[in-house]
Amino acid sequence: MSARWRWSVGLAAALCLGADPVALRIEPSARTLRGAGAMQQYLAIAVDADGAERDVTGGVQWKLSGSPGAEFAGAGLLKARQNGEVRLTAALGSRTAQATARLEGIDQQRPFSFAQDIGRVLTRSGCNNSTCHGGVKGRGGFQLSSGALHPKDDYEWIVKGGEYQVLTTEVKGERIPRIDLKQPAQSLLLRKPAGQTPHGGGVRFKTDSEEYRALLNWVSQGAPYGAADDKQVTVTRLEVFPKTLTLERGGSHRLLVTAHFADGRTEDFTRSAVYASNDKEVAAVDDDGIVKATRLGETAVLVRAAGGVTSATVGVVGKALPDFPRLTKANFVDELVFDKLRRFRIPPSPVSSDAEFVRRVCLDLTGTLPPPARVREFVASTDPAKRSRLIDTLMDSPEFVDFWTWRFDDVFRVAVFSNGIQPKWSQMYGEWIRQSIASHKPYDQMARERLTAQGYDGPSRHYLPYDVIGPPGETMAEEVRVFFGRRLDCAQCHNHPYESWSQDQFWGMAAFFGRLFKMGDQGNEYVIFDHPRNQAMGNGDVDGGIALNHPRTKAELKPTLLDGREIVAADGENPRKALAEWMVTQPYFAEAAVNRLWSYFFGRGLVDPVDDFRSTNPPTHPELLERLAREFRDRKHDLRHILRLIVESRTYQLSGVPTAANRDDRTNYSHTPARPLDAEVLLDAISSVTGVAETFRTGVSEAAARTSGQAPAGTRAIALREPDLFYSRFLELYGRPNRLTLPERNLSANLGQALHMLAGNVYNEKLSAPQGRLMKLVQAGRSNREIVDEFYLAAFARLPERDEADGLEAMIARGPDRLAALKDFVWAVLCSREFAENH
Amino acid sequence: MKALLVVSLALLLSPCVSGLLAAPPKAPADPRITSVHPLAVPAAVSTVVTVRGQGLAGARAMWCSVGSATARIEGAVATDGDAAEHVRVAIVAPAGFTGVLRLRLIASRGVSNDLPLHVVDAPVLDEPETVAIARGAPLAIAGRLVAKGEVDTVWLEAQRDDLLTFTAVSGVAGFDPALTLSEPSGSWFDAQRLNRLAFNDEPLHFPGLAQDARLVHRFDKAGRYALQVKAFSGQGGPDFTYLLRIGPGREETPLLHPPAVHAWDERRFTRRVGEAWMPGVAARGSGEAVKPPGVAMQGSEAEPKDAPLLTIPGLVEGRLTRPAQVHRVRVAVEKPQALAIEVETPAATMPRFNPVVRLLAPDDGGSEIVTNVYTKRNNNGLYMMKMIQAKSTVTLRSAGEYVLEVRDITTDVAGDDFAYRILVRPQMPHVGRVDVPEDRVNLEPGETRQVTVNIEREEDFKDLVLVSADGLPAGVTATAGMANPVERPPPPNGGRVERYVGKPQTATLLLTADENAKPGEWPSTVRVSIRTLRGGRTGAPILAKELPVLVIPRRPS
Repeated sequence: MSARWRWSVGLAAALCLGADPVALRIEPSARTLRGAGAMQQYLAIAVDADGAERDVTGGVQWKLSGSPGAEFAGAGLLKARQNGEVRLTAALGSRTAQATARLEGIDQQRPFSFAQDIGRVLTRSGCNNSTCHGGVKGRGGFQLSSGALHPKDDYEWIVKGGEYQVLTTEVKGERIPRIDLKQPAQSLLLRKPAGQTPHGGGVRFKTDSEEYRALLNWVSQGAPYGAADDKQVTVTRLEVFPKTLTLERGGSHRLLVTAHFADGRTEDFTRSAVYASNDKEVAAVDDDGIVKATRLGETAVLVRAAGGVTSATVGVVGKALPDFPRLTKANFVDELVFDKLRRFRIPPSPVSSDAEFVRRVCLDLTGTLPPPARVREFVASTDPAKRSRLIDTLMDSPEFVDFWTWRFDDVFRVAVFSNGIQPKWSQMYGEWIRQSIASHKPYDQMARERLTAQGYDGPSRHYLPYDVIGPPGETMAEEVRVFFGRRLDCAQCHNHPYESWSQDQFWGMAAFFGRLFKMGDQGNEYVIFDHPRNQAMGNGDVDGGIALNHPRTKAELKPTLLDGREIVAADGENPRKALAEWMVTQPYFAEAAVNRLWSYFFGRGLVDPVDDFRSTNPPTHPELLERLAREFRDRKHDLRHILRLIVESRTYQLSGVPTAANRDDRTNYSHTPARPLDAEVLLDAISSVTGVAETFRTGVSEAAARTSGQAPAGTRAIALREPDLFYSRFLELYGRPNRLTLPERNLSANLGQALHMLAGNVYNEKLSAPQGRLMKLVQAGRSNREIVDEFYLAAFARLPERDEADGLEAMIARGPDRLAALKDFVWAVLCSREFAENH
Repeated sequence: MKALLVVSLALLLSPCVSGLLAAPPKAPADPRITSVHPLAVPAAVSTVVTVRGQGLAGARAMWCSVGSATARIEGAVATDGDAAEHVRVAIVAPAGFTGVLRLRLIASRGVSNDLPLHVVDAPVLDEPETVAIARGAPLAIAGRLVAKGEVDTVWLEAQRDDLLTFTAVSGVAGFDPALTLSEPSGSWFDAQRLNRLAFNDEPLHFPGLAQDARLVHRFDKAGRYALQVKAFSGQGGPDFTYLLRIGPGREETPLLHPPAVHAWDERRFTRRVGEAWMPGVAARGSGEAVKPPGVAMQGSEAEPKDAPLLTIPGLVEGRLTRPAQVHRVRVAVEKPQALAIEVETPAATMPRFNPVVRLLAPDDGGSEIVTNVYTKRNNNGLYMMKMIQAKSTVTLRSAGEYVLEVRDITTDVAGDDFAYRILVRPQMPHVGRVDVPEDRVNLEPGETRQVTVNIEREEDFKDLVLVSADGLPAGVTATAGMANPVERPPPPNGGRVERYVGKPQTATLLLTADENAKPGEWPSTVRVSIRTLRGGRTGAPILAKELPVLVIPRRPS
């Protein structure tokens, strides 16, 4: 393998650790503190010679200057006492850093807010944890929204009692208030967590705690809700610093949490937030937001407060590398990926060999193995731009159109049962996808056409799963999942337990599909249209109406975007047009699209799974995701442009062979991960290597086979438009989805695959076929070595290493039956991981 | 009674009698032809075609729908490996004739069903490998997809800017051909790869629609191209015959709806409802002269109060060229009356153009009185289902100026071909569709077979209807029969179905061959007709079907 990067011998970073940093700074550098008792945590950040940053808050000397209106209540913790402006100075060795704080309204109490003040107690005490009362069904007859996401519901359930009902707003059963206004200290809300009454969740706080006092005061004052929609108390988002941090094993770093309010104000929420590590074995986090690194790896720390969630990515890294490779960067993908590798101290593998690259890029862009002659030609070429030229060739190839049509057939669910149970309709729909790919149609245009489809065209067929118009909620949830990469489904029955999606938002979005109707009866002439709201069109004949009602409140639903904007579409307008226009301009749209594309090349998305964007599942490379999305928007949603950016990057072109230093890396793209070939691609590859095309029939049983059809000879598996029509045992075993729901391919190995390798028709019949590659080579009098070379090139896009070739030649020569030995060799090639994976 | 019971039980227990009771004797199978290959022949040239089917033994003649065509059986019936039979027939289509011949085979067990044979004004090639395109000259290729998954490829040389229309016509029901035009431009992976330029299996599909594939292509460059025919879903077999036509220029796009099966079908959007329509309707009812509508009025985009005024009977027509466009007219109703509203789509039709027609009340709100959208509920879940109809009826209780409006059912789809014509007329009780499902009747001496006559009573037609069969062969008589009525209770959530469908009624004719009837050489063409009866006088005959009836020899017992 050619090492094409340059190694730089920089400063020995390891020697610098613990020594004077090259820079020191304070975070935040400037902040305004408001209201009585306002506090702000500051962090002192040391920057070492290798660019690594350390939290040295506890190790620096803190000083205050300026007005005497504040004091330190802890390391870097500033407490305001009176209005004014102060300057903070941190000193570490010879380095100093400064920050400022404005102190305003320190003599004024902030208005009480149930959402903020009581919600904080419930959250910090774990009461509204999703495994406790914050679960969908609550716990012990008492329910709270997870993380105080829905404070009005919490208030109702605490003050009046009752539980959430899916289908009605009426409260069923006995309502037990959790507070006692006459005897506040007897409130269940206090007695249970304080351990005065048996409590399944144990003691959450003591009677002399700040939490107990806060709740008792609130009940004693009549349990007000306080400011309801006051911008002063409405938190719009949470921010955590640092968003990404690297720690050496045993190191620690404090997180800084800032709440942004609707009035533009910010407030330090570091002490109000609840922290949780997704992988405590990698890094743990305590109640104060201090992250402690345990073992090498990467995890996310989730931060919840005031109904919001954010997260920080934590990488636990090894010792600083004395020689971190200086890598050639092809584009911004490399800048952002390599920057993180450097920060995480993970050296990348060298650039892939030509043989490695040609196989990988052919499979990734076209789903097709390169022919042996092309492999030889590419490897032999001395053209320095040959990789770019090959990428151009592949992206202009008809195989590219075939392959990406198949990719989107999958995502858009082209299948007979998903498209009205009419093979012609799945074909119409698939043809629309094919034309879109072949004509370079911008992805936002594809989305518009699919979302707004009416009449009898291809994309309209996707609104006919199982021959009916799907329920509006399910239809909407699928569109959001496909185009936003988000799962709103939970919010169909209740507010989303972990995200800020409410049931009202879900049904407001579903209402865009509430007028969706099909004209026609029993499988013929299904025309998709949006039923007018104010025209009966025969509804009176059957005492019907078309209003879509909220399942709980029964109120008529109006199309409402996720941002709360209600869309009024007149009868002569397609209500989904406004939805489509809005969706394609949202950041989610581009992010979901590029993330999906990325996953096809690296086996995982920057957010993974690709359709599960949520605050508790942060991207591994947020800047890269944002940059790719911006590029996608700027280039008018050109799919090919993003594909080209990816495959031209050095990141993509790195070797798949890990080094000792990056072997454990799974998420940072230090080497190309080996990915199992998709079922259809694998079957096509087997057909290609053996030279024997697969036969696909529409019937399963012998009886059905007599009346069924057969795909034309040479049809590739990726060209089968109806996975539910063309049965294939092989494809089922290797995870082909039937597309009856949004496909999630199962690429994990199973016993059935192993048995199929041993006894299945695909592996065995092709070896003996007279028209196959092996028999042709034998009949042409080719030597064992020539045959081995040919199959290596066809299957692996490389020639065998010397020891491989020698061993194989000896094995074939040893046996009494040359042909049988050659078949064994080809069988072994097809069953090898090197063949079944892209790497 | 007790004695009778014993006898009955004894009969049932007797092996031979119980066998008789268990299964009535099976009627002998009629000959059935399943394909004709080649599917096309040139006119005035003797061409040998192979007719496949079952029950062809004793094939002696071919019956053609065009009398001047001749057909001669060549050789004996041969048995195919798949339990079918075939026979070769030399056919000469009349000179100057182009179109479709309907062929029936006459065998020892009678006359068969019919299949089409296309007569073309071009040489018919038999699956050639390469064809040369001569400008202005059409080509016809007859082919057959013998095996499943088979793809027939024809190479053709085309010049730059050639505009050609390719049409694949299916020879049998159930074979749905698809066309692909490709160029051998290869790829980096495969130098021999054919790359698709155009693919145009028929774009629309629903039951009953013609399955023929049509593809129009203008060639950007001169070269060699591959035209491929395959079956949708890869079916194939010895009966999968097709005709591939290659013609210069752009052929007219066929109507989306298939040709009418019935001579009269007033509930199809593609019938003509112009000036001649109302007299035609009257002829099937009272027979009285009617005042036809005047010149068609143009639909207007004006607000209802400013829309033009239509008097009854009246025609309104227009084109909805822009999405969500709505046309209106006011309709002057001088007295309470029963109306029929008929909609025609002379160009684009369902499911591309789906006109919604609504009659709105004179009140301020313009409430909907009737629409051509038939709404019912699905009994599985009570979902509302909607279907647009070419005709709706309504009884208006009061006079006034109503508003008729028309638009496409979608808000986004429109076109220059979204043309409509709407006839608003008084209801005229009459017989609508008349239908005989039987295709042919073969009778052994002494045998009786049933001929079913279905009619639809339209617009509250109440008069008596006579059914007759003329031209029966010697020894065959027709009598009225009474079939066991099929109990079909109205669906519980069927909506106002009476507005959108005729009232169906079925009569049965029984054709009986005398014990001494002599087997015929040729089938007789029996005209099954109906007539209306009013005031003791019958109306003009309305032909239901011309039915081949043949007396065949009794099978040896």
